[in-house]
Amino acid sequence: MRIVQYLNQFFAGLGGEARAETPPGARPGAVGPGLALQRLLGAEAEVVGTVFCGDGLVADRPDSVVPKIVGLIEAFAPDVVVAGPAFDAGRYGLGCARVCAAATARLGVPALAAMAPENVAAELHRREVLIVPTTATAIGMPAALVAMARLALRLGRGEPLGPAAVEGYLPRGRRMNAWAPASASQRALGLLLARLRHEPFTTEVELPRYDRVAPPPPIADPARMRLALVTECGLVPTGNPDRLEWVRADKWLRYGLGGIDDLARGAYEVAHGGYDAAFAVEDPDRLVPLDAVRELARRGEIGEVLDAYYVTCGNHGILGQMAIHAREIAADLRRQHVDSVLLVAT
Amino acid sequence: MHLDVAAFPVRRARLGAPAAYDDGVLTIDPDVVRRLVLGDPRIADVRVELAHPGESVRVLRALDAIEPLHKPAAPVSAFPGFLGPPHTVGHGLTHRLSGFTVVQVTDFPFPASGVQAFEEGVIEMSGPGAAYSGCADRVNLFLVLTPGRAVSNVDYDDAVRRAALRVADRLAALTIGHAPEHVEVVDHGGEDGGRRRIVWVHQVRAQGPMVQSFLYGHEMSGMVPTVLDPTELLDGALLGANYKTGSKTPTYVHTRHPSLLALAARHGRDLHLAGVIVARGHHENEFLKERSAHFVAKLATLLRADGALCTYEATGNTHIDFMLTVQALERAGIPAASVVHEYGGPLGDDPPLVDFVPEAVALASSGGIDRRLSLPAVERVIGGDRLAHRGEPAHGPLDLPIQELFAATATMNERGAVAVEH
Repeated sequence: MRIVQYLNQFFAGLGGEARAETPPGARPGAVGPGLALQRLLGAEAEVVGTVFCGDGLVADRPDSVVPKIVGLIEAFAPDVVVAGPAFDAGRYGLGCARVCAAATARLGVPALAAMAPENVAAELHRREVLIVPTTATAIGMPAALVAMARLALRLGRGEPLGPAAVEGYLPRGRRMNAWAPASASQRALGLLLARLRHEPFTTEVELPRYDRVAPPPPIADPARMRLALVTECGLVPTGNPDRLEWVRADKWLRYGLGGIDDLARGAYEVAHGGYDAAFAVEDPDRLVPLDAVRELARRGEIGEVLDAYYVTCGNHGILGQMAIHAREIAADLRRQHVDSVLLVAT
Repeated sequence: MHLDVAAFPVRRARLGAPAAYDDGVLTIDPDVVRRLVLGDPRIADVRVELAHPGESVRVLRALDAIEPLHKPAAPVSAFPGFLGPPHTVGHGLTHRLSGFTVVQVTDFPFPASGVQAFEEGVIEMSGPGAAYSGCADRVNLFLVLTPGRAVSNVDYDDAVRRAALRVADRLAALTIGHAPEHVEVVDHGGEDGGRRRIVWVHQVRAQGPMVQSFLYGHEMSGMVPTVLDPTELLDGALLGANYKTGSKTPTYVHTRHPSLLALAARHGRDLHLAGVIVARGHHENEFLKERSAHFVAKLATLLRADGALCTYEATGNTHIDFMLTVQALERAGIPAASVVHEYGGPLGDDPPLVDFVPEAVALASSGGIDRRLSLPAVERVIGGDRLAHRGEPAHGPLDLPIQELFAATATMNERGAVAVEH
């Protein structure tokens, strides 16, 4: 197994802060902490090369520098890339994380970095880069190298990694299923009794943090607006010609209205498994209120109405996927010169 | 109340005559089943099939699953309100065909859309889907039904439920005169002896036809939360009629819920089970959700609860009812711990909860229900050639999210699923 290690200028033995602009370079074999790493890896793996770069350079100009570093790594034909340990050094941590992410993305090689959990790079990159937690200072070097060696060997063997808490890496924000010896109800009861006894307990689900969306200010002059109807209600032409999914939709659709003033009963159906749509099948305007906005436009109370509506299905929507839908719909609305939206939620 | 539950385990079932229960083997007479089912003209035909754990069998269009119960001594019946008057159960003697289920399998006669559209639950009796499928670890009798002269889907649903209960009752009655393998003595009365008083808050889905539950023979959409003795549930006071794939709580889980079993196991040792608060989920608006949440907290206070174990059926809208209930309990000074199933997408990297309140500080995970499974081809399919709402051919390999398997949510709680960080 061939391993390449990335270090900063200091751990590569080239000097401290004064040499932070050291350009990318490489040496065959292990250097500095790599010597101890090699002993821990044993006969199964060899540190075939060490690639280094100054912290300032990699932190300030990653777009030009990181590809060069990856090129130097590639020349050693590694099976695994390891980076650091960077401890709590922010710029070194960024370099390690960026090099690991790029090595995996461009070379398809598994990679791991080591740094303190409070390193800013850990917070920024833990979702995409495997990170071994370390102490804040180099006092934890031996333990960090032990963990790096163990995980590097597992990556090199192609072994799937178990949970973060078991394997000893920072959680990457992926929650995978496992089986506990007790039912979830038994475990919840255990949490409850611990609470009542004032004993320590750990919830199994950390509460998520969602974006807060501030409502936009009122529209200054509705009589001049160009309005579009957008909804996650799943209203589609009868027969659902574009196969909008009833749950976890992976598409959004724009349907032209052909100048009509009213959505006809029978012309639409609902592709959404999350609510009782009988009321909407009776009168689709109850979901996409075309009749009402056309009337308002006729009376001059609002400006134009876009002659199309946008729809997806919000039922069990995956948040990241829904955010992509929203960005794409917003971009399309801009192309249609729409400046206001009536967003109908179900 | 004092209830004796006599367990008659079913290790094997076979079709034949005469019908009998003998030493773990249940012989089912298909002609008797036919007569019981077809006595109702709303059902035109029935075919009976059996499946045991580990068989290469996939079941489509499974609605509810019932573990048969029978109360040999009058005047009350198990599954009150359906098999007998809506009189209080949970006392006396009940015979139970443990490990056995009667499962209805059918399409509905009339088209429907939205939440009333049919979403089956798929049962995988073997392979990687079995771990997440309700009934996969049980001996099952499938009633494969053809609609008859029903005037609506709601009418047909009623016929299907009553037919399955008639069959279940008749099968459980076969144990009369036999010695049970063991008798479970259940009595949660008496003094708490200074032990902490715990209530179980059991929020069930009541959204309307196709997504509902029945309490003593009646649907629950109009009710405020109420209190049951745990023994009433063991006697079938609650029936599942939620036909949403994975998020349903089938009747056999209502009668043997993992929360009830967890509490009963510690009752009289380190806690006192002070009662079950049954609440409806999926209220139509914030006002009704708040009203229900505060009724739960009030009932828990009246029961002098020190803590509440909270579980819920279904997801989305009902999850909001649930979180408001947790909040109301905490604000009433009653600490809560809850079971939640998670979302998170196929990779588990999306936020896991639909909604939450800051008071939800003690959550047990029953796993992520939208991770995907690759299921191999099977030898036998019950319930159709194609999946009901997805349309794929049913015999071949399938790639499905876990939540499309029958009662996956309740099953994952029962079997100990948990989502852990990677």
